[in-house]
This record gives sequence, structure tokens and C-alpha cells, in this order.
Amino acid sequence: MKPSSEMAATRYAPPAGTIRPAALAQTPDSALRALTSGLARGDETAFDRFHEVWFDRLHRYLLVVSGGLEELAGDALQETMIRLIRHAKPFDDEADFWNWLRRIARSALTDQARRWRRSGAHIGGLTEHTQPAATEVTDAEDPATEMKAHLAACLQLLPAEERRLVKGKYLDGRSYAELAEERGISPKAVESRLARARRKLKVLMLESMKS
Amino acid sequence: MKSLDGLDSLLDDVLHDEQWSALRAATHTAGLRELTARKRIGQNAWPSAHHLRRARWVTPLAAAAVLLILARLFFWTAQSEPHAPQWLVHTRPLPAAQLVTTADAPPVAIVRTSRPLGVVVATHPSDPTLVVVTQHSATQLNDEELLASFDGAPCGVMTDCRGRKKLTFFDAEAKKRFMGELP
Repeated sequence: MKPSSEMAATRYAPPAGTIRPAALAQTPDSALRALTSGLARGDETAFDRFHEVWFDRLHRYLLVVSGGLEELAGDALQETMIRLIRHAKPFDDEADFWNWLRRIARSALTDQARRWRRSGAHIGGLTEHTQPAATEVTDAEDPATEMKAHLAACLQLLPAEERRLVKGKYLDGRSYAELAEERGISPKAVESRLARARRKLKVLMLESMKS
Repeated sequence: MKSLDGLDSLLDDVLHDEQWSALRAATHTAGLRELTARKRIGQNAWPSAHHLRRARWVTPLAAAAVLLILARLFFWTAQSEPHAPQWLVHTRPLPAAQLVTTADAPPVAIVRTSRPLGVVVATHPSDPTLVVVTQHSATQLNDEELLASFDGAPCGVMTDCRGRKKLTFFDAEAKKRFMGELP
């Protein structure tokens, strides 16, 4: 493994709206240049960094364009990473890089969907959702926004108590202890209920994306 | 703004479950594996001196072998063209009484060939150079074998642009008679 001095000098972070807001930072073009040049050279450190920063955004993008088919999106994401390494080239502009990544991801998704159809696997899901999604990919420049819209809608479908709990934790920013005290239960119990609610939300959100 | 951040955070937590972790690990591993594979390919892409020495001989040899195969295929195809008398299958004598031209399709020509043929449709028992040829059969004859005559008019075999041979009359009237347009 050959560590890149460029990579050590400038750590790349993606622009706003792509990953966790806390990790957001303004991206200097030179950092993107260093990251993408490292990828083009086959630098493992660059790939680690890329994977760390871009995984979520690509994952969400593929979830959106595959119409909420998690497994298909996962396969396509893996294929996207492989294609990225095969065809990586230096980029100076964030938007250009994202467009290029989207193109790779979309083509990987289409190929995976075709492979699925050929193998006859998951045929129900494919015929209902994936085929149109993979071939007529909608413009999902900011997949997080689209997913958040689905999430907000699905939040309303949760049972009232779970909805209150989720809102209290995430939208009102209250702690486990506060929520537990209100309900007369332990913080661990709050955590468990929240975990259940999140699982339900995920299922609802993926279903909502399919429809 | 706070609720928007909260929704972001919720979205993260909703997505970040065991499946997400497994996928993250799998894609990372797949990427690294691909990187390693590409490095190996990159190293192998620079041949050693030994490879180069061998390649100097191998390339012309391979090219020569391919050329030989192509040439062999070409000549084999050329030899398979219907120059050989493969049209003997229909040989049978004409009725002794008369050389009959039938009105049925395909059109039939009674021609005199430059040498005895094993014939296409029928031969006259007393004169093997007098034969009945259908247009279809004429496609199988050699030019030199079918410099013939029909009803006293010379006819021959022409090869069209697609390589098919056709019975051709040098005399328009003979052709019309052959086609049944003239008595």
C-alpha cells in the first residue's frame, strides 16, 4: 500500500446535503483533485477516504433510483465501487464528479436489474418496481432530500406513541433520560422502542419509495 | 432548521442498521479487492525481457498461423464451388421417340453441349450431347461445358453479380421460344 502524501495533506469532505450535516465542510477543489487523482492511481488511502465520505450518498441515490429495492441497490452499489476503481479519473469540480458517479451508479443499477431479470430472481419486485426505475431513472440529484420526504410522510403512519417518541428524540432533540422519565420507563426501554420504530420506519419508507 | 437536522439524523439512524453495516463492509472489501487485482494487472502489463524476446517470435508466428488458416479456408471454400460435376444426380435418358419440351415450370431447354454431360434433367440416348436443362440446373454448369445451343441458337451460361449461373440466350427469339412466348 502506498500512502499518498497529497491525501494526508488535504482530507476530502463532501458538500452540504450529502452526508451527516455534522460532517459537512466546504470542499476545496484541490482536495477533490487529490482524492480523485489518488483513486485514478489506485491509492488505497484515497479509496478508503472516498468510501468513507461517499458511501452514504451513493447508497441513498441507488435506493431512490431503484425504487426502494434495498438488495438491488446494494448489489449495484458494490458494482459501482468496482467500476469506480476501474475507471477513476481526476476531477476538479464537485458537480462534475457527482454527475460522473451518478452515471456509473445508474449504469451499474441497470446492469444489475437486467441480471436479476435474466436469473429470474426477485421477479415480482423487479417487474413491479425495478424495471421502470432502473431504466427511467428520475433525476435524483439530492437523494437525501427525496428520502427525507418519504421519511416525513411515513412518520405519520407510525402508531401515535411511537411517533411521539421518534419526534421527541429526533425533532425535539430530547434525551433518552427525559423521554424515559416522561413515560415512567427506563432509558434502555426507550432505546429499544426507538429501535423498533426505526425498523418500522425503514420498511414503510422503502415501501413508499416502491409505490 | 432544528427539525430539518433532526430529520437528517433520523434518516441516518433509520438507514444505518445491520444491513447497512454489512453492505458498507462488503463494498469496501470489494473495492480493495478490485484495487489489488488492478495492481496485479498493472504489474503484469510490463513484460520482462524474456517476455519481449518471446513475443518477437510469437507474434509473427501467430499471424502466420492465422493467415494459413484463412488461406486454407478460402481455398477450401473456392474448391467447394459447384465446378465439379455434382449435377449428375438427375441423369436419366430422354424418351427415345422425341425430345420433349414441357410446358411445366421450371422452363426446360433442350441444348446441345460442347461435350457429353451427365446431365441435368435428361440426355438423349443416341446423342449424349443433346440434353434437357432447366434454368435451375443450368446454375450448376461450368461455362465451358455449356457453350451450347438451343434449337439451333447459341446459348451459354452467364454468371450474375451474385455469383449465380444462369442459362443465357444470345438470341432474343431463342429465349422467347425457350420461355414459351413464341411457338
